[in-house]
Amino acid sequence: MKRFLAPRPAPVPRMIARAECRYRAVDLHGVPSRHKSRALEAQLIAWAPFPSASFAIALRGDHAMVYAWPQDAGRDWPESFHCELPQQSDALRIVQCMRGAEGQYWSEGILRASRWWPTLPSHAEWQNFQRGAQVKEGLWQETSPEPLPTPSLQRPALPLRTLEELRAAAAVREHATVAILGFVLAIAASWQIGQWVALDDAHEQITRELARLQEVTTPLEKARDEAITNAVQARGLAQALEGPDPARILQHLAQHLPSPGVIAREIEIHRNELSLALEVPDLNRRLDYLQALERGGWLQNVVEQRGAAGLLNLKMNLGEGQPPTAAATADQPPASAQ
Amino acid sequence: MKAANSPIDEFRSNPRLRVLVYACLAIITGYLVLGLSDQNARTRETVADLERRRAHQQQLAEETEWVERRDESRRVLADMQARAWSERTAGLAEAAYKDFLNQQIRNAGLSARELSITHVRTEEPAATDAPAVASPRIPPGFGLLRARLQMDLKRDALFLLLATLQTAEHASIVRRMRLLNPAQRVGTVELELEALVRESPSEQGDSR
Repeated sequence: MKRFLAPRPAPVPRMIARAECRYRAVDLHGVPSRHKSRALEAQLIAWAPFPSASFAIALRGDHAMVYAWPQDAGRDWPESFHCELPQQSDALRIVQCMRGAEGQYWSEGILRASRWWPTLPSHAEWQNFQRGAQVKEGLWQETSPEPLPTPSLQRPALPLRTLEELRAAAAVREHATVAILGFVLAIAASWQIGQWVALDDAHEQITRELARLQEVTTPLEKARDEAITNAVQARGLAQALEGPDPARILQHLAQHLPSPGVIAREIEIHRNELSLALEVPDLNRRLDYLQALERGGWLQNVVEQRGAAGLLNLKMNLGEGQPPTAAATADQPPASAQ
Repeated sequence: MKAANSPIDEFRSNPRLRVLVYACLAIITGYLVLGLSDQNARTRETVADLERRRAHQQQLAEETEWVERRDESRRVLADMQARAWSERTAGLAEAAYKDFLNQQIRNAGLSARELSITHVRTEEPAATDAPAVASPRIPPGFGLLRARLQMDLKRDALFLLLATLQTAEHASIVRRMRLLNPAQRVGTVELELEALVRESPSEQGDSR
């Protein structure tokens, strides 16, 4: 129980040995922020320190600190990132690694240069490293400093990304654009497909109903057409068979001819026209005779025309239909067509 | 770094290829969506048209009275057709009409000085010697028999004849009547009558 409650020793972090790695600091100053990932990726592909490499990338400002190692060496982070960051932004130090030692030159918080030796560097190697790293004048060290202990941080001291994660981050905008476009197109297509299905259903339903209705209406349509045709034919026959009744016209004339002393010498009914040749007692009273004939309203447009001398020759139109009955014209003065 | 050696790797590693593929897919999808939209618009018009037809058919389906109207129109038409003369040939119809007129004139106590009948077919002009006012249009399938009569004027007999013609089974229409000296004992009456005759060969038989 006591042993169970005792604090567990911290697990040894899994790391890639610095001896397996290559380091490069990439300056991205002046590259637009949206192109930085692509630019870094292009530089790393061009660098290609191994035929198949893994990368650990720490981005800081306009700089990238990149360790590369062979892919078959494992998927852990290089041990250099498990080391404490220098307390000053500018630093020159040696870190004792699992195997060998690493010289680091930090400037403005960026690891500008890193070199690995199998053993602690000699004076000449240290001097060469400082020259190669173009160490600032105030940081120059004649002798190599005491090496820092082997990195032991459980987690890397800086946020790291692999090249794939970097690509994925760069592709976010592309993915978002594609997703939005795809979403819009999918919505539009879904809407149209939904409409198409609904319209197709409606079309089918109406067609079915029309077919059902046509079974009912076809006989009715035939009946309607035949009824209309029969009506037109019947109307045509009625028009051909109808005409004024001459007996009733003569009766109407007898009622409206002025009297006394007026004698009809000639009466002619031709379709809707009536011609009269009247022997009248006084030819100077034409107006009275014409007014008498028009009084009933059925004889219209009474005019005098040329004819036999000594007679009053009149022509007039017959009204619509048959002449009014005697009862309807009872208030008219009686006359006779002798 | 491994070189892209498959289309998928090439697609993943080549942004220009991706843009091209996405653009092609977007254009094709957009084209299909627009095509579907046009198709839907056309279908919508078709459905609207069918809807109108359905409404029309539904209204027609409620008008069941057309069957009664058709039967009634058949009866009316048959009645109207029955008022026309119907013989196997035009010559027979003309002879029958002449016999009918002679019979009616005799029955009325009149004697015809002149009785002539002419046959006017549908396509011929109806009016012959009286073009001032044209005859009513002769229905298709019918002809016209035109009779000219001249008689001594006897007023009561004339009224009887006119009444007989008016009420006869086969109609005779007085298109022209001229009375000369109606007040004298020696008056004259001229009549021009018209009767319809059916020309359909299927309608045979004596309809008198």
